[in-house]
Amino acid sequence: MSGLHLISPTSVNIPFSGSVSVSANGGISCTSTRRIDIRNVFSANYDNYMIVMSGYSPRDYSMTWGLIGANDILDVNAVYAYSGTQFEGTGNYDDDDWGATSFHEIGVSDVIQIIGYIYSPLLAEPTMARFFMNGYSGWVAGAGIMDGAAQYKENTIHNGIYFQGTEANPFTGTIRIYGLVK
Amino acid sequence: MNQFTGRWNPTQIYDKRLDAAWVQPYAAVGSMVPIVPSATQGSGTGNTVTVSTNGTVTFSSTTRITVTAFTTSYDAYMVVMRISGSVAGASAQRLQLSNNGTPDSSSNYITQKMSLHSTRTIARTAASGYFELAPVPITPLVMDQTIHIYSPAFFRTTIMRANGVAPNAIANSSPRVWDSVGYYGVAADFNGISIYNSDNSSFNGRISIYGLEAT
Repeated sequence: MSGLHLISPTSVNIPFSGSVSVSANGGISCTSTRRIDIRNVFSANYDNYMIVMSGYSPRDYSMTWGLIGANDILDVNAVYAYSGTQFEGTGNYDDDDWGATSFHEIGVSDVIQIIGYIYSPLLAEPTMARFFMNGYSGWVAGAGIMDGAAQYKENTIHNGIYFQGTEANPFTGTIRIYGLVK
Repeated sequence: MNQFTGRWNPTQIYDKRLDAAWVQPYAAVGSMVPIVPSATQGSGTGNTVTVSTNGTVTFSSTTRITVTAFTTSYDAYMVVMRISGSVAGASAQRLQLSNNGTPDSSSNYITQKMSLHSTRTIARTAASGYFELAPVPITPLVMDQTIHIYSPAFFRTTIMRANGVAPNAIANSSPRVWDSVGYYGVAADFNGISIYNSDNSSFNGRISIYGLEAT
């Protein structure tokens, strides 16, 4: 038995512009989506999840993300926190925030590839995450690194996740969410 | 002689390719396999340890948890854990490799760690008797880590990489990015890991171990 299962969400929602499709196995493909809500993708079969994203935006890339609670409602409680570091060329930028209504932006400029782990979002415990981001940086015309840690402090059950860009920075690419068998 | 009698095992089914080679089917080759530990040991007054059908170890009130799960069937392993502690302060969690439930506490471990919170801090620890993991928060806060352990069951040096996220000791502040690399610098083989806190305080949590199949 494989310990890594590609999960198919019950539904995806794009409240703004763009289009999205979900393959038979659960792979999500977005075209110029400003926000995508991935609903009921967390299940009791798994505690922990791995997310793989790849894609691009037409301008310098910036996208926040957050969790979805009961009734498919975005959780915007001000209990999200983030720490991260970013390397582009010879530049290094450390960043953190606390008490935000979503997690910090992810991505490195124009082209991104992300692997992330989300820990226990469906349990009534804090949700934690680590993201490892690689990309092409338009600022330095080279590769970029961005590593981050995220914490949702409260003991809240979440069954989905959303990613949100801006009107000028929609997301085109793929999102895959895998469950780690427990 | 019939070589195919015995119990049916889905991981031992082979397909015959067009070039006549016998291979395992796609689903069983190159995948990540949940490992059911062959043994677990918990220490501490009133500790409990349970193992799920697929191998996740859940424990509470333990001052040390030892899990025997490595074999030469896999080169590399991925360990995913959530830990929550019981004592105030920056108790650091430690990992030792083990054999048949006995932790190795020799001074062959070296940890290189990077901890980031607002301002980046980098530190190198000298040789010690453990691989250092992220600080342990107090319940209900939690610390999560994904640890890759390379070739522990083979008679080689062993490399470990932990990518963790832990709350900062300062309340209401951003979490730590915790990355550390552990090096066990002497050739040896191990079949498990043992986790404990630097102050030997008790902790609760879950550990899942996956073997990464080599194609």
